[in-house]
Amino acid sequence: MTDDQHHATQFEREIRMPHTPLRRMSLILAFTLLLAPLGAALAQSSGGTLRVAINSDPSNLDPHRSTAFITRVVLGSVVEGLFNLDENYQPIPELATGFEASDDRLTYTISLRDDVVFHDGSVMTSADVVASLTRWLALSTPGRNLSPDITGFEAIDDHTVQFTFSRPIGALLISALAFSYQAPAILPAAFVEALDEAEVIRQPIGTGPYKIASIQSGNQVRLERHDDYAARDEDPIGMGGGKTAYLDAVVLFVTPEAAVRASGLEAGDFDFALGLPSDGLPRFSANPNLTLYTPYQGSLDIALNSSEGMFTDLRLRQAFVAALDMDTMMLAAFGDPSLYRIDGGLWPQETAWWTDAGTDPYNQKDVERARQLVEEAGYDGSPIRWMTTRENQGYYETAVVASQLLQQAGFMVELEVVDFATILSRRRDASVWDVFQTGFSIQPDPTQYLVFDCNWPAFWCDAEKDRLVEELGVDRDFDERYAIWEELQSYYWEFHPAVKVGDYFNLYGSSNRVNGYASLNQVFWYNVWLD
Amino acid sequence: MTAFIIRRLIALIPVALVVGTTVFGLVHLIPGDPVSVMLGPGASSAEIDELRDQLRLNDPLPSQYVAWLARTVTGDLGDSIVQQRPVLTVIAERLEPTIVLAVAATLVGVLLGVPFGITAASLAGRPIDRVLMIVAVAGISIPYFWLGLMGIIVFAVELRWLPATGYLSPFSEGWASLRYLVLPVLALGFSQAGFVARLSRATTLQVLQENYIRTARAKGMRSRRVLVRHALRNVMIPVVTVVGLSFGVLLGGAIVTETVFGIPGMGRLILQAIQQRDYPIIQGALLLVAMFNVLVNLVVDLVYVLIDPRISYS
Repeated sequence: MTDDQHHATQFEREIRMPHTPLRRMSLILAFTLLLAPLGAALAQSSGGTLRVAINSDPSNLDPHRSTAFITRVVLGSVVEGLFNLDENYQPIPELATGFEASDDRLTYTISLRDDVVFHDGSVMTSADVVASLTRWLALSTPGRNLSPDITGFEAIDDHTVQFTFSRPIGALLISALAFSYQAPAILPAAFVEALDEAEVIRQPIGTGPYKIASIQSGNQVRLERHDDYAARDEDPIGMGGGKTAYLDAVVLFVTPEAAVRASGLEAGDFDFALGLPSDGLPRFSANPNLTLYTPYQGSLDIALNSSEGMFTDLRLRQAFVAALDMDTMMLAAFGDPSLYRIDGGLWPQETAWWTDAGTDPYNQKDVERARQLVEEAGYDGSPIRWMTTRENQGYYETAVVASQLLQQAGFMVELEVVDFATILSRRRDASVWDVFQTGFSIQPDPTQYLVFDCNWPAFWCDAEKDRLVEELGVDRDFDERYAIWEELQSYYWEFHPAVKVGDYFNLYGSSNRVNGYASLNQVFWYNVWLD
Repeated sequence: MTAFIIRRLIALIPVALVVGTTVFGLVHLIPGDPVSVMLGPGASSAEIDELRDQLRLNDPLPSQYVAWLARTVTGDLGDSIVQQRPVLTVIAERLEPTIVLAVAATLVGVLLGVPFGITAASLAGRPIDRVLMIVAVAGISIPYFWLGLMGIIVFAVELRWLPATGYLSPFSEGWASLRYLVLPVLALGFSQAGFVARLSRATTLQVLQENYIRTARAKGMRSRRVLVRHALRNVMIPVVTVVGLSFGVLLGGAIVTETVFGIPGMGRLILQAIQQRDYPIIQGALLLVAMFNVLVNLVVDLVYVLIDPRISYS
């Protein structure tokens, strides 16, 4: 079996696997229909408008640029990439039909579907793909990380594009093309070429099952069904596969206050609400009219400044990590154990990359050991300058719990409570902070983990780390890469450039009229219908 | 009179300059950066710097100030950094809900507050006066967001008579929009009414001590007629002053009420612009709010003339 065939079959396996449970489900469905005359009520029905409460104003809808979650909430049903993800966050073809790698893995040829229609009515060709991905490679973090190794990117014919590399990074490219984080969305070439260099896209024209009908800034975004949408000829798979737009329209109402989203959902003003307040969980669970969803959202992390200040001393970083009690911190942050998970693996359990290798230092709760390390290091009593915010759930609460533990271990802590915008800009100056808080969502590939980027404000610049990241980036079998990933994750837990606190889940709710919602990290409205 | 108005309008210019310059200084003093917010927490320093350069945010502050001033005197408030649209367009979208809410709440405040205040004053010391004043003090003391949340729980979640959140434009949606306005307007108007009622009662009691009131009564005029013909106009002067001031504040956006009821008004726009460090929006919005306040004060001064013939500005 050549490498090419190997890749082809890998994709097919990924496409076919989910069919089995689906088939089983449809068998059960068929039985139910036979047995119960009322079973017809289960059938999917077209039409209706879904009213959704979203948590912030999507003022920037540039798929290539924005890393904001809310951008993905709006664009998840509007734009598409060449690839998408199955439920294990592995790539599956979307606008592409597949790809072929050359034997040396330095050339990847991606074939495109020929039936894809943009919201403006034009048919997608390789010119659109080249224009869109050229912009994405120039503007997005994953694109910029890949582009130094991309020596060529061109259209071979109307429905084929080809990448050539200076070193084999094809596997990374395909994962990056499947992710919606700074999405490599395909937009019409004419649309992309009309953009100025600094221009931020406000209303993208995509290929998705829904199109943006109107945006009222600060108030609502209205999505309407894209009537010419050509679905893939298959069942839904994870976040992709066959997509059906049952709903006529989806209206996303900007509702910044969590309590208001909750009362709006309970009062029936909304059919769906994102980001419900976690302290209301018992009340929502008791409400027979509501369905709750807890999709994986991301991790809560603490960055340590290993480039300047007290934490250049490894012993003090070890002391910091030793003192932490993740159970208490996560409980303080999220209130209910069903909304978080204690896990030191850097890639979540939802993905194929998860491992617990090297995670022993995680969640030690060992204040005694921390105190010894603090003494050994000859800590001078200058306070830890810790930037935190009340804007993001859990940041402040975990910081308060951690400060208590750190003080018991002999540290002085100075919490600097500011707004998130201040953290984002101040953290770029390594001389003004020792600790700040952040969080990560699932990213395409472990090589792209932000902490590994020497320029990202944890400023982890280290030769051994760089070597492992480069090794991990080489295009080869998953098992070999997985072994290197275990090594890299272990190194993270030795060096302590940052500390993962835990995973947390979102709390969404809908009225019982809403059916077919896939509770995954990516939010989308296709395959959803209203009774 | 015309000269007075022109003089007051000219006074807008120094006010605008002082407010504009102060706000420009303040927004650039707060730490934080619009591009970091716009690109999100995952953006690298290189990406942030590049976009800052393209948006001219790395220029020295004095040259940014001169550019801003040169634009602003021509009436161009610039473009929003985050939304990349003209500031005036963005503000115009948000102005309608704020004005609707401010006008409606003020109307509720005056239409409830003045009659209640005068009634209480004319029955001072009697049980009705006590009851009205307890209600008025409650209106002033109960935070209106709490009142709003209670209103949502009772009328939206439990009884389902009214929607919990949202806003429809009364100009395009007509009567359907009223359902959305009832709770926020009452929540905001109730506290206004309490304030106005207290003030009208106190002023009425004071006016009723005046000699001309005694004269009117001595003529044998009925006390109701005395109240309406002789007392009311004099009561209205402090009421108009206070209502004018609070109306000016409401035009800046009722941030809390807008947040609780999901109304896309000026308050939420300004709050969001501050969180995103969208400098042109903050500057433009605060400048306009300052102008509104000056204009509202001018209108109040003109209303004095209508109410009290003794006042003139010539």
